[in-house]
Amino acid sequence: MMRVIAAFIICLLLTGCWDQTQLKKLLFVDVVGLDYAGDSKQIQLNYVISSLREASQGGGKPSGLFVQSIGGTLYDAVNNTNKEMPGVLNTLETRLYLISNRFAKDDPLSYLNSTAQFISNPLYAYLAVYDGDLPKLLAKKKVKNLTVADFLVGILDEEKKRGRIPTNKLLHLILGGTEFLNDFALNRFEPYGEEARLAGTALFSDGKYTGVNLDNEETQLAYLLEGAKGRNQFFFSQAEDKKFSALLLNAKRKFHILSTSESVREIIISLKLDLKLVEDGNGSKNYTKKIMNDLEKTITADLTVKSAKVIATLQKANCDYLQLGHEVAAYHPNLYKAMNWREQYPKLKIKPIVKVRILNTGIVE
Amino acid sequence: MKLSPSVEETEQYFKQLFIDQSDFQAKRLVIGGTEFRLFYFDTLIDPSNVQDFILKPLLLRPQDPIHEVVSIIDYAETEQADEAVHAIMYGKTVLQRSGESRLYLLGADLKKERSINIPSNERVLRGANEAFIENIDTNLNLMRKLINTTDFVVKTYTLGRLSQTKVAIMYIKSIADTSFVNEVDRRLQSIDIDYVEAPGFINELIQDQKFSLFPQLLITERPDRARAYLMEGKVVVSTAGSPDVIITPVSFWSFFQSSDDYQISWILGTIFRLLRISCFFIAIGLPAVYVSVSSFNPNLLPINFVNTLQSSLKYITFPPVVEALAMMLLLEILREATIRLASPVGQTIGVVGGIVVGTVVVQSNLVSNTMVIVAALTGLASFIIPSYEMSSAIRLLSYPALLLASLFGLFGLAFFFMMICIHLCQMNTIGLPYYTPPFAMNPAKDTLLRAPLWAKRTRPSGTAKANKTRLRNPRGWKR
Amino acid sequence: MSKEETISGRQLFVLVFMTQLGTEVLSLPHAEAGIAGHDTWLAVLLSGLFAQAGIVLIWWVGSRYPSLNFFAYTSRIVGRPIGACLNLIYGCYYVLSGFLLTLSYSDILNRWMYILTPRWIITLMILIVGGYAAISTLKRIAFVSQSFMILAILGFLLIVFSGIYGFDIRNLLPVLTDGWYPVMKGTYTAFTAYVGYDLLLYAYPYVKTRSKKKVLLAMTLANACTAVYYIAVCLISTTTFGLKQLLVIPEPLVFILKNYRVEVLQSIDNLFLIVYACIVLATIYVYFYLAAKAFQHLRGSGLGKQQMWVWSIVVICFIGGFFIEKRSDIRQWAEIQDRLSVILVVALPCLLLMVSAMRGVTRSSL
Repeated sequence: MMRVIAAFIICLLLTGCWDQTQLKKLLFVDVVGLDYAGDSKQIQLNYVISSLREASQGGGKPSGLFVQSIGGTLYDAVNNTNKEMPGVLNTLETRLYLISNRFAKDDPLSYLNSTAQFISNPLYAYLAVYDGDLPKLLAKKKVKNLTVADFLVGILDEEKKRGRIPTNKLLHLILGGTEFLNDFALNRFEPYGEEARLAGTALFSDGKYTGVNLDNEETQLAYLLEGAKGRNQFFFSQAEDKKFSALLLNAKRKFHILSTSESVREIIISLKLDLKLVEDGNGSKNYTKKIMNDLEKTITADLTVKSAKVIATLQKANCDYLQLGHEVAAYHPNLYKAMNWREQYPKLKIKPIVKVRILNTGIVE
Repeated sequence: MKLSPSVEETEQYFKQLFIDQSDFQAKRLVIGGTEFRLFYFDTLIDPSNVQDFILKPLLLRPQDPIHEVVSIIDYAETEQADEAVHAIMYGKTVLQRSGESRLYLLGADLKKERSINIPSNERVLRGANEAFIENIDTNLNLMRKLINTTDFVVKTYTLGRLSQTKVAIMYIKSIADTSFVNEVDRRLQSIDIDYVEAPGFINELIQDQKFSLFPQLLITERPDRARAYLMEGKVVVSTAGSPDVIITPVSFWSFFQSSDDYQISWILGTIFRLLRISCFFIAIGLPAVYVSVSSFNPNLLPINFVNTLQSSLKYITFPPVVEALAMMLLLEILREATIRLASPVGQTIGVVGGIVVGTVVVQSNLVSNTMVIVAALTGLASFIIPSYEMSSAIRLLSYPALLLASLFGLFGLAFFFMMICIHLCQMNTIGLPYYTPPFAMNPAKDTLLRAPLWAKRTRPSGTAKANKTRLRNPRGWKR
Repeated sequence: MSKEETISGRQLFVLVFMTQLGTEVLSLPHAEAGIAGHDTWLAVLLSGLFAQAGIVLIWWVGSRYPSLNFFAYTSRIVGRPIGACLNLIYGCYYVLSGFLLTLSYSDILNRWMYILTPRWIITLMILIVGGYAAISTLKRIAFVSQSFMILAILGFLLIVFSGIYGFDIRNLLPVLTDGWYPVMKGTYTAFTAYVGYDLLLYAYPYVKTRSKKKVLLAMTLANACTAVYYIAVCLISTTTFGLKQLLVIPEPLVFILKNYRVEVLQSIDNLFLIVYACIVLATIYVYFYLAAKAFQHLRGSGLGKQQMWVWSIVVICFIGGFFIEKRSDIRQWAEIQDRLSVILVVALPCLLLMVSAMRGVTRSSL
């Protein structure tokens, strides 16, 4: 028995190692930027390869290397790069896929579906839209003293943690998407001076960019309407030349589908928010119960109007980001079967009802 | 052979037998007309004892019966010459009175023994500080003093055709299962060899699996530990000339137990036990994990981590396997060097190995930073195991693990661990399963966890079948 | 024939639980998505109930011959030549099951992690572990399974906690969209996932419990745990993935586990695929062991040594691995095995029970 095993191991040692890779030769693609090359349908692939340079005795400089290549598909483009530089290109550690505006408008997911074939690809990478010159952004050595990759991913990570932007992991969108309808809102970067910044979301309908965007504030509201949890998100609102700042403590959202026996009459989205008031621009004075009640009413009114606007924008773009279609299909399957959701969704009556409570005013009265 | 009453003839007989032995003495005495002969090895006896307790009384009362005259407890008579020969070899003084065809075997042997020391290999913080010594009688004495019951049985044999080494097995009659005692007995009796080097020879000759790396018999130098195992129904084998005793049958988990566990709070004991068991995995698997992560699955680590790892490997020429093998070999050389060298020099080895080699090897880009950490951790982890045999076995096992990991990455490592697990499951010690799964609600409650004493009401069912109750009325004062 | 050591009820539970879990953990959500759609969990639950009925049946058969194992009493029921034939069929069936399991797991490894490593080497490694475990007694095999079970539980926790990433209960609704037919069809597919409880056929006389009811209890618990495991897997897959995705992803769990990302560890899918080896192997060695036992019982006084049988099975499987290389071939064989398992695990014991009931006399003479 032991001898057999020993012989077996010796045989294996003689044959070499099949799947072994050398870590030092690996090039870890951190950010992938996808665009069309010129006016053709060829894919222009931009990568940022991250590495740590001059690391010795506890030091080291993170750096990003920018590479560009062109090809018919993702695989083809990668293949072309291999002829241009040594090392083993891999997507083992990719954190962000950035797509350009025009690429997004033209069924980007059909290209991205092939990423599911990358066996070791961590599909938790973000997908985001960049409304500008992709190669120019990615080719930058440093942005705000960070590498481009750390900069972009850092913004997304932090904002996600603060609960202000929806998360868009690649896995949730490709191959038909995890959601019922593949409508989603991708985080959108835009050029800002020499650098870039997060500018709301780009609305996608059936995996295609509609060209309609939500700005930062609308994004947060849309995200809450979609069912986000309260995570101390910051609110700023302005009504009757009063300015409020508040932090969100709890959020609860519910859909009510009012229907007749044949059709969906109205969908009511109730959103209950518990806030912590930080400032209301009224200088220092104690909050009485009445003032608080008034404040609650003003904020409620303000948010209701804003939510209605967000929903109208979503409907106009025919982007069912809130997955109302799924709600109807799940709880009223017969109604859903009878209707053509894509056509009727923009015309549906959807009404947001926001209820705001101010739980406290922080650590000062 | 029958003896003749003539002292001359007896002397002739012994002299012929010990013709080449220059230290054999046949002392002639004539006291009050009666002729006596004393036969002994002068290297084995204590002359002053012979003088005081044999000769002096004899001078006074040469005609009285010997057993009344000599003041020696270790007294025997024989009419068989070969029996007397053995006695002489053991260091007895043999006396013959002319005209009697019998020999008196008088124990006046020289006792050269060192004092009882602090255990050197199994140090503990709390608990007894006595260790066994080479003298079996002292060892039995230690054990007898620890266990004051008539149930405590000591059986002795002599093993070794030439060495005639005294071997004792100890057990507690009312607890130990007779079948195991008989089996140990049978196996010991069957040993027929020139001399016995304990515990190594006995170990090898009575253990079940011939080709296993894992130690199957527990070796200890602590009487309190031996007692603890006796109370679980196990058998202790002590051999003359060896300060270590063998405990059998023990399970895999015994090698992770230390006397300290029972002196401290059971919660701490459990945590230390878990630490040791996790070190078992670290010592076997860590270099293998390092190799498989760096050359098969770097995607297991997030990008920042991978970049750090990559940068430390950037200028290293060797593949990670060679790095790992080199460092582990270095560790093994250092370990062996420190054991073999005299202790003051041993310290220097530590300095040379730890500081000089460690730093220089990294600075010269031969081995990566990470590998040095891995090697150090592996070494430390293996030394944490209380049993020297187990810790060496574990260190050896890390080599095949490393090779398999370098071929198949994590799957190779998993394959190796599965093989070890199956191997352990199939092993026997004295007919009992060697390894029982830790979560199988082992009645011993002393495997992965060190259960509190009040929860361990029963003895392990394997060895103490009949008499199970260990603890009656735990914490009974509360009621 | 070597004497069998007795096992405890707890060990029976672990053995059966680990034997029932197989490659289906990974593939069931995908396979069922095409048949039962949203109602996968219902189909899995139902087939769990059917399996429970099967357990009661086997327990019943076993309790008629409390001192003999299945392979020994087949010839008592139907006579020597037919009994030996039955044993042969069972032996071949177990070899086939173990073989297919080995192939499909090495196929998964080959597709997910070891692209360049030849598949025969991976197959060989699995077979060696399986064979090495199978040469021992039932009790020792139970020890191995008990040790491996920790990893199965660990895997389960990983799967369950991965559910918190993007869990949408609406994916389960509406229940029974297309009526019961697809669910019933799914039940048949899911039934094979529960096969493995037939270990009781062999193990029945060797279980030492206070009463034979306890045996049934242990079996029921094992079956229930398996059902919970499968249902959890299916629920998490269907709630986190869209149906469209499930139809194209053959191993959805791996994708789910990719989602994990801790400060120092990510891509837990790779770790899971490795740990999963334990779950698969626990099934493979039990099958090899049963096959060897079935072959040994071809003759009343025992035919050959268990070791010899196990290693020849390993060699046969290894050689067989070279002939089945296409994935579709594995699937085809798996379908044949599915049908066989329904016949051999449900139909035949049922038939034997009836025959033995008719020849009730033999029972009293035992």
